[in-house]
Amino acid sequence: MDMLLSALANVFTPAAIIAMLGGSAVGMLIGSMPGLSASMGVALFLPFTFGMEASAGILLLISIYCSAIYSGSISAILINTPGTSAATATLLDGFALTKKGQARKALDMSLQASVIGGLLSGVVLLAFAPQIARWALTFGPAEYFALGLMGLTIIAGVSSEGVVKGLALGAFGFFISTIGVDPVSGISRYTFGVRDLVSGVDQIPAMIGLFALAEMFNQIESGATRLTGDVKIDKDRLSWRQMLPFSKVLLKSSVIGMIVGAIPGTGSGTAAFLAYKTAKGSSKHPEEYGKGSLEALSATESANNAVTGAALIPMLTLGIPGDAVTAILMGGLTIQGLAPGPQLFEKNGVLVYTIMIGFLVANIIMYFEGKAAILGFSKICNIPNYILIPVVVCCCLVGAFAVHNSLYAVKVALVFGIIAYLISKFGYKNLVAVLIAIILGPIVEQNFRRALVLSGGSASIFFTRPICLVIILISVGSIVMPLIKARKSKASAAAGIEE
Amino acid sequence: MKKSSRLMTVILALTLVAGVSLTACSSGGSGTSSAAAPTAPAASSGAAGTENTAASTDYPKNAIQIICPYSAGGNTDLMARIIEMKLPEYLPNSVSIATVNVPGGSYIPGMTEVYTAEPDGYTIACIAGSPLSIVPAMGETEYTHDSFTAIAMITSFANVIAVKADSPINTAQEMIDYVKANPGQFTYGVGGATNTPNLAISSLVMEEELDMKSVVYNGNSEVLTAFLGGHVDAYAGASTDIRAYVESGEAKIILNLGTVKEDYYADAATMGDLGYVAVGDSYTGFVAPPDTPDEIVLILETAIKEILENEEVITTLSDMGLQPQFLDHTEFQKLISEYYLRNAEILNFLGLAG
Repeated sequence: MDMLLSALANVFTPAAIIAMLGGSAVGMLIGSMPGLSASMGVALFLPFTFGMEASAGILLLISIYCSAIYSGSISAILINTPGTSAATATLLDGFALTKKGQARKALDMSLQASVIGGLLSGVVLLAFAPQIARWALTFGPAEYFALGLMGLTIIAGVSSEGVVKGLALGAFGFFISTIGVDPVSGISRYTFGVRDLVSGVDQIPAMIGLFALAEMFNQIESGATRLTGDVKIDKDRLSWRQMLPFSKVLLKSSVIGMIVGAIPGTGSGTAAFLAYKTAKGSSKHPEEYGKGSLEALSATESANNAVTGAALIPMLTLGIPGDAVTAILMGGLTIQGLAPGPQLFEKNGVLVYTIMIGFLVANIIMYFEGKAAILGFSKICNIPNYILIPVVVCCCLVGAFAVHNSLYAVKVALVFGIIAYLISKFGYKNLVAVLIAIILGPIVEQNFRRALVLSGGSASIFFTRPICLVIILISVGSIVMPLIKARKSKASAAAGIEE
Repeated sequence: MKKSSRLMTVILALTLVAGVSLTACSSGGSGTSSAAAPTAPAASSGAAGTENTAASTDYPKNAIQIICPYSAGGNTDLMARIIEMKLPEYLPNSVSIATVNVPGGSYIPGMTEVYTAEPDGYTIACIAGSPLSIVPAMGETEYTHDSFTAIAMITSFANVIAVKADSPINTAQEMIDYVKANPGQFTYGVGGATNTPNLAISSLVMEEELDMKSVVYNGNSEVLTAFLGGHVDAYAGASTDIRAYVESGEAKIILNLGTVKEDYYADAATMGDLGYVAVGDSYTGFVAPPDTPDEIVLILETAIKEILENEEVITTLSDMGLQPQFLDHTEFQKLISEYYLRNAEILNFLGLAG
């Protein structure tokens, strides 16, 4: 209790509050810029924290993290470009809502769902961190493979142009993910002697090309004066009361986000996809998914922000960073002499609680700053294309450069932009499947191979481990069940005609 | 008609964009020079300085850029930043220093940037073992282990093999005996197929003809996860990352793959004890582009040496589980080369040499 009180005092010092206010604002800007990812933002501000007091410094970084993960959705909703890879699933319904004129509602939903996901994960972090951390360790290569597989099955669900096209795009993305040094064997694959390709194709430039640049090319061709065409923008907002019908989806998605977040090495993009899949599976209006469903948005947004709190669990309790961002946070703590690990709680309990309580406060600050930001951001829809397109293209290319401080990523973005533009002429317009495969491909492939190394080449490892088996059964079921249902309803329809 | 003209506009625009990007890449170092823009004016004065000592003694006059071929937040990055913070105080002139992360691509993009930079002391690299002692042995690089001008080593830590505290295996010899009695049964997790710990273990495997399974993960933290979750029998990686678990009594270190010793694994056998060459230390140090003038190297080397005696720096390092370990530029180059030669042999054995 004493620790909690002194932690509270730490969080509400002027320095910490200013750090969080500033961090949230910075994170929002960075996240909403296509190409500038949450990890880049945190890395950029890491050196600033060296000279700061430990708790204020780490809260600055955490604020940037939370609000960047949230604000990646802003650009996904408004200009069909995810600001961070966490917001890839937002693409599925975000821009569709904007096209229907409901940008304002979508932005409100995104913010409120993010805050709910963030706060819930913060509470869980505060209450159950050590237990969850130990449970997450039971995930071995077989389970990671199954989880990735489950994520991949949603390719079928998001392929509005038919499963064959969806699978083709998925296969293309999977291939892209194999380019570069294979981490398991150390051998270069598909690099054709081009030195740059040794690095592989990073998610961020690929994402910029596939979505931002391709969208801009198509806009130029269509000659539209505004991104959304002539659609009138609704001024309707979304109140908290209107969120009530979504409470079940929000809760379920937040739990999914927390589970995925607590498992090191999966990430918020994966969580959002799994939440989308689950929400669609139990929805009363699955036909609206992909065409601008607020429910779908509530699922993806709460899930990706629920990851943020949960991702701190393995870092704080085990000293294991779950993703790129927590790896940098850990660096920040280490240099302050507070190396995270099993003894951090005992040695620096106050600091741990300061981080946890600060995390909750940061989410609340994010809500108010987000509300203010939405007022400005929602005006993007009114900007004429001749101004918007050059600005977006510039931001995108700078963002791509910033990935590794090299021009290689800029070239990747341009190549993917051109590919995406060209294949859209052949009816391949929904490219989310490519990105899903690029994000999940390495998880699936590497863990499949690791599992087989461990089992001595026997596939039984995937069927003898309970968690793994359950996840695989769910994935198979999610593919087979709709087919059976469809066949049944067809059969009964046919029977009905005969009668 | 109108539609087709729009299509033409787009195609033209695309060609233009593609053209620009191609020119950018064909001009080779343009990526480098744009990133190193602040150092450009210094290039000429530095080059002149190789002949005129009077000119070189006023080094540094401009901003110095430290290229770190690792991601932000990692061990090597933190080391670069610790030095970055102190360097202005210890150089003859206080200039601004910036660390730029150019990660990925087996460190080749970052190292190539330094390799092709002007040898004027305004672009230097902070490296660990892999970029010069491992990757060049696999081909694919323009440079090799002795292409750069070494400045100084700042620290070094050992990579180790650890097992769970309740494992029946207590020593390196017991591990070797177990593996020989149960071929193909013993699994160890490691953070990369060609990282320092895996090559060090492979050298043991090569000499002892051991049959144990290497499960390769992406980086040390994934290995730690798998080890703590009981998915692999042993952890093979940085001593600094497993320290907390040794101190909490969950893990025990049974083999020191390098030579550096710390209190928490002072008793573990080293590769030397087993009678083999040890290449399992991970060093961190600074190198400059090829043919950097001696005067500049000395100025940097002296500054780094003094920084490593700073109390604050020593505390920060010890918080990270490290100690300052200074090697001057000749000793550091010797170490890089020794490691390179041994690693080349091991990579050859693994079929990964270039």
